[in-house]
Formats: sequence, structure tokens, C-alpha cells
Amino acid sequence: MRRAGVLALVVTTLAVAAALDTPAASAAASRLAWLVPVALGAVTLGTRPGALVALLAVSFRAPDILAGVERDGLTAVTFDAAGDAVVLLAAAVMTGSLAAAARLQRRRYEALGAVQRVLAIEAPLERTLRRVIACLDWRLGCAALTLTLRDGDAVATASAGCSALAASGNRDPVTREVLRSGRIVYLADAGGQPRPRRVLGAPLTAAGVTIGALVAERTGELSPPERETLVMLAAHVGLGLENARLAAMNRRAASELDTKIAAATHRLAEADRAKSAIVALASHELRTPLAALLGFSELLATLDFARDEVRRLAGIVRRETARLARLVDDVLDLSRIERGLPVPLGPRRVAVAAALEAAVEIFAGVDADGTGRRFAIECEAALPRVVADPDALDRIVKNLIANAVKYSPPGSPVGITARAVEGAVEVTVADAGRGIAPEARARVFEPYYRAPDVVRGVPGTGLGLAVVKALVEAHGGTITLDSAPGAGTRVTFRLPIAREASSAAPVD
Amino acid sequence: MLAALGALAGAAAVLGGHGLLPPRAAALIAVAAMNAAFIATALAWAGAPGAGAVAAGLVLAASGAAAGHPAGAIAYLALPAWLASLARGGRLVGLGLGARPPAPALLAGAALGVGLIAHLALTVSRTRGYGFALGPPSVVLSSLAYDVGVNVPCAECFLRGALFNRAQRRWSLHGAMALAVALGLARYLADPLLPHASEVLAGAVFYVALLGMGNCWLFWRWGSLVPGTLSGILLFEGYRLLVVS
Ligand SMILES: Nc1ncnc2c1ncn2[C@@H]1O[C@H](COP(=O)(O)OP(=O)(O)OP(=O)(O)O)[C@@H](O)[C@H]1O
Ligand SMILES: [Mg+2]
Repeated sequence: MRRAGVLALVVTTLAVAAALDTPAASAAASRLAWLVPVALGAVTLGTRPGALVALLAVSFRAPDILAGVERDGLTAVTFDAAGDAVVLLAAAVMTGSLAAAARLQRRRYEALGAVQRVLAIEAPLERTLRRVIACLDWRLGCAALTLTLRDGDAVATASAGCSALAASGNRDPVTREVLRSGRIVYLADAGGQPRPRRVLGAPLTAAGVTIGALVAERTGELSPPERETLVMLAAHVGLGLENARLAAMNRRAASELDTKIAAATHRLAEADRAKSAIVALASHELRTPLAALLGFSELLATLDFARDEVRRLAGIVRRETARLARLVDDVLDLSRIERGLPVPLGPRRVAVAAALEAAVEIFAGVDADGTGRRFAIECEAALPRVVADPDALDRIVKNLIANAVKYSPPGSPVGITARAVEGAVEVTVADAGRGIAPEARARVFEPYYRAPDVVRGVPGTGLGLAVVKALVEAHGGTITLDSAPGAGTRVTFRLPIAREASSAAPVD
Repeated sequence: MLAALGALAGAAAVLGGHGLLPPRAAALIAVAAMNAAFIATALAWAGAPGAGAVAAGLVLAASGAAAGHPAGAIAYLALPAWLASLARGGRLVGLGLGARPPAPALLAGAALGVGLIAHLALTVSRTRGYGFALGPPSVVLSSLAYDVGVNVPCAECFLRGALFNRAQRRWSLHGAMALAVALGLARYLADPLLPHASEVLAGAVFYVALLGMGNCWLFWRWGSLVPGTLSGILLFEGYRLLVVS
């Protein structure tokens, strides 16, 4: 395109020169004829080459004009020729600048389109900046191009070419000034070079905030329309980067929301499953003691038994009733805890040793094989009283003993110890049973949780330890569980002791 | 110092005008003062005011020597020698006399000078009263020494190295070019040694304007004063051969 333009220009120039070299050519004809190559040069090559062609045209006519001056002196004809020169130059400059403006406009849209395409690709910020720089660099023909983006306190930068500014100072002062003031900065010369180095810094803005700067350096000229182009491109890049950032943020938020919803749905489904399993289990757990109660009370009502036998049957009825009561209490407590309500407590000063003995009593002789279970209660002498709801303490201990009995083989010993430690009484229930696997150990205090190895085979609801923990903590105490598979289990809880002087709690 | 040089030029003009000084001597003094002022200003702007004073002194002294004896014209060459030594010391980077210019720059400068001479020759061929001829060797050599030693270096250092260079770093190429070309034209039109025939004045306007524009472009394109100096010397040497036939 350009080469064809140059060729056409040379041909027309020569043609015009040849045609005008004949004596027949009138001054008016030469004036008009030279406009053709001048305009052609300006349109195809731009303002400066156009002006050069105009100068050539003027030089072409100059010998005749100067000879005319010698012949006739400075006449109207001479001034007329000077006027011609001005007209030719003006034509070159005007046509050239129009053509240059049109070309610039096209380049502007091409650059915009290229930037748009780069910004549409989702990539890490640094890479996007590098791509934007690469696509602007050769389009703008700059000696150096720097793109800086501020994201909070962090600053990301990409650059191309060799910056005179960055070389002269420790950090490019134009970028700093643009970021600080948010204004366009133009330096006619960055200095330090044989030729002037023009520098333009344009802000990247989004929603009225300066988010970065585009700094272009060019050796030679950086005309006002080109500066406008840079400013416009900078605005566009700023907006594009901001949009890309927002879009990425949206996508991230949406995917986070998705995973959250999926997790919540999963939890709900699990809870639902667990609830129905519990309902099934609880109804089974309620039925067993009820069946026993019904059966034995019917026997007692309809048949005559010996006194000892009556006592034995009554003992069974009592234990089953206690089991039923414990279960109902657990369910009630847990439903309160799950709703975030406090457990109602009537704290008193309680002697732990007596409470332990009372709790053990009910488990004596309950093993599957009918033989009595050995409970070893060891209490420190002169154990201080604790502040506790007697009923709650009873349930705590009974739950722990029930577990120890349930999860250890018949006849194996269950140890219960109590001792005073720094402001509290520590009670430990230890068995020599199956123990708990490490992965289950972390979850045994969760409501409804039961270790996988006991779910089939040993009856239970998974409520016991959850209720125990809630009750201990409601008393201001702590509970820990220590266990290894096959090596038995120790559950230890502490309750704060009552201060004799200050406590207003009545003695139980 | 500029004031002193201005006063000298003014005094020479006044004395010449009143016939107290032979007109040719007055013109020589005025031109010498102008050249000295140009080079002093250029060097001062380039950050070497002391060297500027020395250069102005050299110009004045050489002018005096040349006026005294034809062989004294050799003293004109002291200024370029002094400038070359300064440039080698890296003190004239601000004037575009830093690194050695690339070959294309020198070629372009030579092409501009030769082109202008060719054009001048074409123009002369169309006139009736002018032609080219080699004058007596002493005159040719002394004018050659003047152009190489003072005329072109002073004009280029001031108009291009100092004025245009400063202006182009503040505005654009075109504004700076307009300023430097206009001042160059003024300098040669005010030159009392230029014959005042209207065709000579018109020719001077034409060639000095073209030379000025070309040299500005050369300086802008390569950042060096050397190509412009070369084209200037070439054109002026062509001009010196011009005689009224
Ligand atoms: N002493 C223990 N030995 C072995 N495993 C135990 C012991 N105590 C608790 N576990 C494990 O912890 C789980 C939770 O106990 P938790 O007392 O809360 O429920 P449960 O005994 O199964 O049912 P519930 O007590 O409500 O009848 C049990 O299912 C069991 O797997
Ligand atoms: Mg239990």
C-alpha cells in the first residue's frame, strides 16, 4: 500500500515536472498541477512527506522565479510565486494532517479491539498486563511502555522497551505522579538523551478512582492526537481490567456459594438420615424396657411367687424403669441443648462419694450372664463437696457407668475413682472393654454419633456422651475421654468444688 | 558579556553609518561581534560559560587578524580546534557534539549540502548576470577558513545546538523549527557583508530557509550537530564561488 503510494507519487511528480518544463505551461497550470503530487504525497505518506513534496515543488519553480527577480526586481509576479509556495505548503499540511488523523483513528480502533480481545481472556493479572503491553507496544511505536496497576497496597507492573525514566531514577516519577494525582502528565523531554524523549502518563480509572497508570515514552515526536489516543486507550484498559477483576470476583463468589450450598445440603441430608435412624432406634430402645415392665408386672399381678422371687422381679422392674427414665431424660436434655436452651439445674452442695455409690447400686448384678459385675469405687478420704445438681450428677455418672458396662465383656471390672484436684473433684470411670478407634474418638461427644463397630450389635442412641458433656459443661466443669482400641476406656470429668464460706447452696 | 558584544556591534554600525569608520571595517566588526555573541551564548547554554568567553575572544581575535593580513584568516581555524577539544572532553554533549554521528547522518548532511549546491547551480544557469568562478586563491582560502572556522560553527552551535535543541525539548519539532529558521533568516538578512541586490536577498531567503529546515530535521533525527555543519559548509562554499559575470 505504502510502496504503491510512493511509486504513484514519484510518477506523478516526474510527470508534472516534465509537463511544466515546456515553455507552453502557464503559471496558473503549474500552480494547479503541483497540487496533485503534493496532495497525493500527503494522503499516502502523511504530513511531513507531503510538506517535503511541496518544498520540492517550490524548489522546482524557484530557479525561474529567482531569475525573474534578477530580471525585473521584486514584482507582483514574485509575490504571486511566494503565495503559491504558501498555498502548496498549506495544502500539504492540511491534507496530510487530515489523512494522518484518519489513519490514527483507524489505528486507535484497531488497538482498542486488540486490547478488548486480550482483556476477554481470563488470566492472572500479571499475565494480562503483559499481554496488554505486548499488543499496545508495536501498535503505538513507543520506545518504552509501562503499565502499572494498583490493587489495594499491591502494585503490579508490566513494561516493554527501554525506559529512560526508569533508567534515570530509582522509580519512574511519571507513574508515581499519575498514581498520586490521577491526572494526565506530559513531559516534552525526559532528558539525558541526544534526541528529545517525550513522555506521557495517563491514568487508568474505574468508577472515578485511579487504579493505575499507562506511561508511554517516544523518541522524537508524540503529537497531541497521539497523546489523546494514549489517554483514551488508558481509560479503556482501566475499565477493561476493572471489569475483568469484577467478573473474576463474581465467578469466585458464585463458585464459593455453590460449594457452601452443596455442603449445607449434604449436612442437612445427613442430619435428616441421622434423625430418622434415631427415631427408629429410640422407639426400639423405648420398647425394650416397656416390654420388660409389662411382662414382669403382668407376671407379678397374675401369679403367686415366693418372696425372694418377687424381690428379684421387682428389682428388674426397677432397673428397667430407671433405664427408661434415663433415656427420656437424655432425649429431653438433648432437645433443649440442640435448641440452644440452658439445662435447668438446681445446684446444691453434693458429696460425690455418696452419689457414686448410689449410681453403682443399680448396676449391680446386671450382666448379660446374670452374674454380678465388679465395681471398684475408690474415693479419696475427706473429699470436698461439689456444687452440682444432684439429679444431673446422677445422670452423668449413670451414663458413664452404663457405657462402661455396655462396651466391655461381662465380668470385666469397672473402676470408679474420685479425687480432689486444684479447685475441683475429678471422677474417672474406667473399663477394660473394646475401647474406641482414634477416628471415632473425636466424634463420640457428638449427639447421635455411635462408633461404627457398635452400631450393629450393641443397643444405644448415641445421646449419652453428648448429654454428659453438656451437663458437665453447664456445671462449669470439663470432660475428657482417653481410649485405645482393645485397651479399655477412661472417661474423666471434673466438677468445681463448693467454697464452704461463700456458697449459698444448700447441702444435699 | 553579551551586552558588551551587542554594544560593540551597535557601535560599529553607528560609527560606520556616520562615516567615522570605513564601512567595510564597521561591517567586519559587527559581524565578528554577532558571531562571538552566538558562540558565547551557545556555550553558556550548554553549561560552559567560561569556554564561551574564550570562544568569543577567539572569534574577535581571529577577525582582527584576518582583517590585518590575508594570511591572518588561518586564525579562524582556532575556534573549531578549540570546540573539537571541548567536544572530545565530553563538555559539548548539550550542543549535540557528544558521540560520533552514524554514517547515514553524515551522508544525509552531505546530500543536503550537495543538493542545495546543485539547485543553486541550476538557478545560476538561468540568470544572466551570475556565474561560478574560482577567484584568487588567497580570497578563496580565507573565505573557506571563515566559513569552516566561524560562520557555520557559530550559526549551527547557536541556532541548532542551543536554540532549536532547547525549543524542541519544550515544544514540538515544528515550533522549534519555525523559531530556528526565522532566526537564521534574520541573521543572514542582517549580515552587512551580504550584497543588497534584491535577487541575492531572495536567493538568501530561499537557500537559508531550506538549509535551516534541513539542518533542524537532521539535528532532530540524529541528535548531532555534525551533519548540519557539513551541509552548511558545503552550501556556503558553493555560494563563495558565485561571481557576477
Ligand atoms: N466405655 C466405652 N467403651 C467403648 N466405647 C464407648 C464407651 N463409651 C462410649 N463409647 C462409644 O461412644 C459412642 C457414643 O456413646 P454414647 O454414650 O453417647 O452413646 P451410646 O452409648 O451408643 O447410646 P446411649 O448412651 O445413648 O444409650 C458409643 O456408641 C460407643 O461407640
Ligand atoms: Mg451410652
